[in-house]
Amino acid sequence: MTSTFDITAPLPFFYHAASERVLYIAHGPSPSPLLFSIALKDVVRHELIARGPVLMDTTHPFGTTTGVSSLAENPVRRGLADTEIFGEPGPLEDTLELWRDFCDALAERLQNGEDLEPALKTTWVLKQSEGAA
Amino acid sequence: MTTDSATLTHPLPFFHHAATRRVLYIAAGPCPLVFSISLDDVGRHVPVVDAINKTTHPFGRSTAVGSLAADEVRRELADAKPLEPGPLDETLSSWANFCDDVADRLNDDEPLADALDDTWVLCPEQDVALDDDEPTISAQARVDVSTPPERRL
Repeated sequence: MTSTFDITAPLPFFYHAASERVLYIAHGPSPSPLLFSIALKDVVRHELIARGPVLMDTTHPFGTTTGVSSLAENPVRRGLADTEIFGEPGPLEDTLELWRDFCDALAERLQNGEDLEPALKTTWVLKQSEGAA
Repeated sequence: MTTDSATLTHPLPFFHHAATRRVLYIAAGPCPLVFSISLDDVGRHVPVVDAINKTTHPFGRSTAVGSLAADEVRRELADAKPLEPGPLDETLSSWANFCDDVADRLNDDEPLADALDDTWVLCPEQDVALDDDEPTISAQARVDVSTPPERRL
């Protein structure tokens, strides 16, 4: 299991060609690394949000397009094996970096015991109290 | 996509890669690392009584580390199956603790070979008396007394 990779370098994004999805494995002190995915077409569609505010009034677009899985599941590990490193994000880089931040924030909430659906709906949602002057 | 968050965040099991007879473990940390050890070595180290050793721990000589960025690591993980509970559970739990400690060192930028060689190896600087009035000798310190003088600081 030796490789020429710097094993502690941040993991790259992965691309699953069959499903046309980008995959990201959340970092952090989690006892269970989470695998997030998003359709490439959704990354393209949301390219402009990288230039807008992070917090939204309603569910963030990433919250409606992001999938979350555990590496404990056989199909998830098989899917990960079928990926290749997402080489040059090019113009999508900013959006993917933003998505990565969203996934990290989501992972933290899940690790704190929040249910998945509410976490997806409310991560990066501007709360009224936060909006008060 | 899993919808049950409790399942999502449940600690990952050990995995067994049948073709190589190796057990895989994914350590937590800023960068998830895949550790592996052969089942033969796990069986050879049962029971692992002393966590701290004076020389490289047996786990340090038999553990391999890989990154999920490597194709072969992802393929091995895909071919592996969750390991059923068994008589090696206690040793595997100890090994997982060892891997977590190695992962901490790697994430602190320690070279891999050094981390594997030195994790769970008794260091003289660990012999710190916490009570000035009544010095006590910890179990680790007692072990260290038997260390040849040339190996002490």
